[in-house]
Amino acid sequence: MLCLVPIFVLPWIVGLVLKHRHVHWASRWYFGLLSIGILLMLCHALGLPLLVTYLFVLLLLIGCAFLYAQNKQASAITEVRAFEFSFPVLALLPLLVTSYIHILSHPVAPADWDAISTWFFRVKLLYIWAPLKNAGWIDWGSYINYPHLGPMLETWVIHFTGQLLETHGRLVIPTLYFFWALNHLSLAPQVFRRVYFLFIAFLGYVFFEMHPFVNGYQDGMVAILAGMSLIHFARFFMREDELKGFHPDVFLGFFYAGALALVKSEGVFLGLIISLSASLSYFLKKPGCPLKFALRIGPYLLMQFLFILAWPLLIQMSGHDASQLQNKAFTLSTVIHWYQNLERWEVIGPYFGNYFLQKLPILLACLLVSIGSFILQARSRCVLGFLWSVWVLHLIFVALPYFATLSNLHWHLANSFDRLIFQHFAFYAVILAVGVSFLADKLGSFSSKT
Amino acid sequence: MPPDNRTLNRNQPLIVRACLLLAFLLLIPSAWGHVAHVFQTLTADVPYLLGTTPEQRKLDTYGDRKNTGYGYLLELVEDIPEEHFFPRVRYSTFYPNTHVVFPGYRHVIDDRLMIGIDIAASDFRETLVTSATPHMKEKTERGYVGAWAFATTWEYDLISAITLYFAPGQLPPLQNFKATLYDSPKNQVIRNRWVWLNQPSKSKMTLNLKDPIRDVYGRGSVPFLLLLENTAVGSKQTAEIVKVEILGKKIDTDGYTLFHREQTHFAAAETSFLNQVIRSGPPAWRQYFDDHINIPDIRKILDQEASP
Repeated sequence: MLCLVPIFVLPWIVGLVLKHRHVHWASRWYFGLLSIGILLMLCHALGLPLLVTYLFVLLLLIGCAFLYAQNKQASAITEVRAFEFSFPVLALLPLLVTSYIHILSHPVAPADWDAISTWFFRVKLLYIWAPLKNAGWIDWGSYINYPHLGPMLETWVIHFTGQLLETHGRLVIPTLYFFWALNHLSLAPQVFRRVYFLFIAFLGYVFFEMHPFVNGYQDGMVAILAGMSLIHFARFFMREDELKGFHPDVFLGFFYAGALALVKSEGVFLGLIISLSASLSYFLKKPGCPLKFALRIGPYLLMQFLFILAWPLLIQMSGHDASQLQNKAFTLSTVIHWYQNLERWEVIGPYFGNYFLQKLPILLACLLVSIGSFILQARSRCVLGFLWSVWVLHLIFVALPYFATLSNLHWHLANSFDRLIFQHFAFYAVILAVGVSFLADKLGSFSSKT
Repeated sequence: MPPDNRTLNRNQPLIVRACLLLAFLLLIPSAWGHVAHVFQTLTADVPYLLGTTPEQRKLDTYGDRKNTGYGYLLELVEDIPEEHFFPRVRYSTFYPNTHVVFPGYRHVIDDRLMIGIDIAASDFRETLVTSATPHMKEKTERGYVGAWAFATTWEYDLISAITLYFAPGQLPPLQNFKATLYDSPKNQVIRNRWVWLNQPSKSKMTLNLKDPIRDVYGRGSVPFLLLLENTAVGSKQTAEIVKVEILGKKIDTDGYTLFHREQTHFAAAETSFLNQVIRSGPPAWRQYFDDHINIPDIRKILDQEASP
């Protein structure tokens, strides 16, 4: 039970510090959890002892609670009606409980190779608070190649249990899915809200493929953080706000996109695809002086670049050669000259074909609500353009490594394609939530006319 | 031009509803599949969770004697007197990082002990690893130079020999061979070179690698590249190699002494280490072997050394 405290209680305290009323409670939980994880990563990379690190976390919690108490009025979450809160939570709770029971019943499996060789390796290293530059004296592997925000959060949970039980650490990932699904409520239309909440609970089940969230891999976390970022950018576009000064949705959109870089290396690219598409969509929607636009978007992009740079910088600072990140499958030369292997499409193409076939009903549903919204709701066009551009760009990105890989192409595709393409699954949920929200508003406008 | 609010016609609410309904219907199979999966998982996992201990669940996941041989390892590893020591564990396929899921902090993989899980008798012998595929072949004045790629699907302790097959026809009586093994066709890192001089020609020849390649682990998909050159000695006849086979041993117990055996599992200690422990301790290790030796010959030696 103790492991539920760092999962459910403490992140809220940090999340409450966000002053803006309309930041959804699910997103506050996310912000709190990730902030704690990032602070832990930073302290660990700087070589601070575990005790000092936890003192810093305590200071963060006290500081956030104090700030919240100071600005209670401004920070208060928008009034939440009982139904709006309880129904989706109760409807989605079976997913969370089932995932928890499944994780507790099944230790991380040898068949899920990377879950042990890459991720649980790191959890064990972090549990004993071995420094970044350790790798020489521990055969559990090093921290090189992948960042470790996910394992750090797992370790944070395990530390509360007092003994190294990897099953408790894995509870974090399905919880991320649970709160991500609930965060779609923040895209609710003005009318038919209850029907919309039912629909979001339904969406939670549509997209719940349990395995990626319980098996100890981090691809589920990448997908969900991308989804969080998409939700906040979508909210920003749906509200048709001007980007002047600090905007909580834009901030959180960039924050989650940036945090992707601390989960897996490919998260850097997914994060950039999302944030740059959002920036471009905004610029196309409200064209103006490019310099002004750059100044407005600049601080957010800077934050994301700091996230991206953080990992190699910390690696370099701890005595590793950051230029050796990633494995032997790629070199700078093969990446630059990927176009010399275009004939590989014959092998890569069928993987995409199979993927589209599998996703056909969901894709058709997304297309239906997108086309409907696009035609009937002019204000949906920008957000739909943004979301679909992310989808297209990520599909292109997924194909690129296979044109550049030095490994056996069949082996590489068979071992990574499904996981890599899974990382954009949240796109479908967000586009359905956005499309349905616009269409519901449209229906509402018909009712009000009659 | 898409219609705006002013040009709404009365069919539009119907279109919106149809859009929403159709989208909903398209999503039902996915949702239903996942609901069914959640239900199945719950009905299977709840009784299992309530009726087992965490250690039993680990045994089920990692296997007692099968799979990773977790149960066998527990029996042999938990008593090892050095806190961070984990033996080299060999499987006939690949090492699934058993030490990571093992309880405690045994993180130093130490060659002094080797444990084999589910090892067949053939795994101890030199067998065919794979056939190499020709990458390139060129005729020279007195022979051929060829590049042959091969991947090792599983893990091998030794790559110990190559077998060459020649094209039918007359062969020169003697040949010289040079072989260079590259780590991969791309990185061109040399793993080793070998030379065989004045070898009597046969249509099928096996050349032993004097300094074999050891610990061929975790190659994934990256192939090795073998550059092979054969030249005739004192003859103008040239011989073309048409097939190359790679031979190796999955488990190499040279320099080890088996002290525990149970069906297809074994535990062995480096002979020098075992001798040292038997002769002069340390006592904790001596106690360890005393508790675990089940090979009569070794037990006899230990008992003889123990008796005054």
